[in-house]
Amino acid sequence: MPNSSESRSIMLLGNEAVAYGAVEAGLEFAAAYPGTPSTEIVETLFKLADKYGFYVEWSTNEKVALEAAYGAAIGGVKSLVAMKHVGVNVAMDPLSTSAYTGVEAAFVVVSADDPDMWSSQNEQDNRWYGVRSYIPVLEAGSVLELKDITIEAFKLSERFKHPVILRTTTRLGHSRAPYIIGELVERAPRGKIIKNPKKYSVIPAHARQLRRKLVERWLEIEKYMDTAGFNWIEGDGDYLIVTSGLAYGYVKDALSIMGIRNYKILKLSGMVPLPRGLVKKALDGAEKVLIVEELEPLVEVFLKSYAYDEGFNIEIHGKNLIPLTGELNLNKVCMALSKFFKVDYPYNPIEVNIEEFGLPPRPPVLCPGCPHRGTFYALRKAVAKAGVKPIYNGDIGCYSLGVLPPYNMQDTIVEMGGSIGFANGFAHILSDKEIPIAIIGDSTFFHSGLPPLVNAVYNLAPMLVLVMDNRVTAMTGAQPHPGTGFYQDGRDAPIIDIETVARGMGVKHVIKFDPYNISEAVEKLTEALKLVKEQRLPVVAVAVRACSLYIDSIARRKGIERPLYSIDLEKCTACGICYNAFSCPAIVPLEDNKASIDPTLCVGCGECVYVCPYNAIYAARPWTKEFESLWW
Amino acid sequence: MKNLNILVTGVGGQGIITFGRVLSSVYNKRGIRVMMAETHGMSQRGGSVEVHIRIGNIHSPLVPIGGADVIIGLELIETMRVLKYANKDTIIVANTRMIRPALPKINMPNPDDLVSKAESLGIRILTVNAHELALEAGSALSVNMVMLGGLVALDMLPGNVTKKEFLDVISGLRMSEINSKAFEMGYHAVKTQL
Repeated sequence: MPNSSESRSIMLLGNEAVAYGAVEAGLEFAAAYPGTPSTEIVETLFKLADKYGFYVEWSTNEKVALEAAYGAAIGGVKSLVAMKHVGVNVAMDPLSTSAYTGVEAAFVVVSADDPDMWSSQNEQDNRWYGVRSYIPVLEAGSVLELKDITIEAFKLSERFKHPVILRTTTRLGHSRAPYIIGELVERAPRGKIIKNPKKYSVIPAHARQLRRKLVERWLEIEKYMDTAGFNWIEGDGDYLIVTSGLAYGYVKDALSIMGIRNYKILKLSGMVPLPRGLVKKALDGAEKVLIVEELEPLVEVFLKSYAYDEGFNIEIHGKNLIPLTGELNLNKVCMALSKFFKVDYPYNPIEVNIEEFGLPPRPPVLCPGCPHRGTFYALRKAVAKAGVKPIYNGDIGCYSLGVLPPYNMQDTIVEMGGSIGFANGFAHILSDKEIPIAIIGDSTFFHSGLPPLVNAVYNLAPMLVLVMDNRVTAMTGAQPHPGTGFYQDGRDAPIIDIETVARGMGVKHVIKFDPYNISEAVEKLTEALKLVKEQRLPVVAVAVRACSLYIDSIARRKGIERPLYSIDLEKCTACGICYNAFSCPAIVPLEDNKASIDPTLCVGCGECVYVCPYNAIYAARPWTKEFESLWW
Repeated sequence: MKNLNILVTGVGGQGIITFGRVLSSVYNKRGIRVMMAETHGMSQRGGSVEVHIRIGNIHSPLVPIGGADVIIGLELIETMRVLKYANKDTIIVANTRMIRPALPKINMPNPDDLVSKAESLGIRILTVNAHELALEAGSALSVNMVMLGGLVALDMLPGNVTKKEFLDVISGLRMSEINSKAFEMGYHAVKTQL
């Protein structure tokens, strides 16, 4: 142990535990694109990188991150790549073939799934990616096990020189629990040049050979899963409960709460490939079986098929008792166990009809001072002025919140880069007055906005591409990206300028404006829309103003007083434009419907000054040079 | 030792995660197992936030519906929104303050109506004007510590953890003097209602 303080248990966020587990396992190279619920893994690695001597980067997207880590692992360096579940879709091309080639050192792909879609567009179950790509999948049996399972993923990958998917979920990654950190040692990674085209250049002749070897290796991995320490059978009751991943924790709690004793558990933290030897042992003598797994019936499908092959004639329950949608919880598991074991359901919630309480909804909203609010406000006015009928093709980022009232300006949102992508379709099927407006953030633009923009230029697709450039990857907590100008640790980085990129791609008209100056923004956006209408070409507008939440956090850290705006109640006519049409959370109505600015929420952006038609908003504490210097 | 399920609710920015971190830190120092589930991501953007904390011999962090022993509400609308987690034995400690959602044309409910509606369902609800107390302690940002004091005052926490153990952890936070004062004020505000 390096020192005694590190041997005590400390409370860690699950994602931090994954990071510490990776470092403990000898991590040498890490890459990621931020995405909830995976982001804190690599954020934590950044904090440890210098001390322990490994490389870590934010890559431009998940495919690039995966290729970088895959390449490093081929070069003989222990690597990890982390992404949210839908990020794996982006990275699927290289990942699909990675099991064919294998690697020279551990290669762990963290897929952070989001059951219940806390901050995602779908709740796909990425264990299936393991099945269709011959990549083993590990998942912790409970929050407490997360660090150990991370280490196991590295061990498995290193042993078979084969990629491994470490599946986490929002619940695992965003829960805090006690962990004991093991020994962390300094390292100096050095890879080597690999000359083995029969293994790493997957032309058809090589690929056919590799595929045959892959199937053989898969059987070896399955055998390993039978005896690996993370899969086990516990208890000796007549009823078998099979758990996949974190279902184990819920099952353990539910059994104890309900006082059930006649059970045995087959605990699977490695479920792809299904360890058939262990399954057979568990099925032997079982009277009936319940499979508890979150989302899809993956273990259920394989276990039932295997039970049929082996001639087990027993009742097997799964998705008939455990819901297919949403994340697991104790209620769902207790309900299933109460039916399976025929015992009472333990909870008796108070009967409440919440509708009767008349509670207003509280969705997440754009922060006080958010530059996107000014851009949306200006865009609505510009659309009216230019006399166009828009479809707003939205994208993934904070600006997705523009789907909410009062803006209602995101008609489609599907995936990263989909804004310009969809506009490429709408551009050719609408009338001249109808214009697709693709709304995309700066980080998303670099992530997957480049190819569809090239397409729009090449295929002469009339559209307005509005890049809402707030200088950082704001949605996930202000990580830097290629347009930011610095790295996670604050060192200077080259800036890839969005305006220059667009011009380089052949976009004829690129317009830039500051969304804090709403009058100018309206003017520039009107001009841009007119250009699209008249010239029938793609036009790019870049709204540049840093994320206010990020600036506010720096101001607080540096002890710089932020500006403050206030309402002149003599001039305020209680029209409600500022708190209804503009909807800044810092502006609230008083009893007489006049406006009031909450000084604890106001970040001093001053956008509202342009919005008030009666000049009732004034700077109670104006901008200082010091505050201004925080923006870039 | 009996297990305890605590649900903390409120609005992003109210310091709900800090509330949970102080509580879980006290238990971890004691070597008593504690788990805490957070709703991240949306929290900075003024959305509803819930933190689930379970203490004891447990393997999962989520408090079940109908399974909360205590509900701590830092904002009254959000407190009402989670009533499904309560059963007839649940105790709720609620801040009476409401925060207006930043949506156009919102009708705000009456706080007294909300409390009496909850009481009419047979729920035991203790109210605290945590905003006022926090301001008195020195900062509106200390509402979370007022409510943490209120939780400790209930005398329901397992393992006989003491007020002092909480104050020790709070002393390591920013604005520790104001926060300790807020904690004490919340403690007394609830103690006098028991």
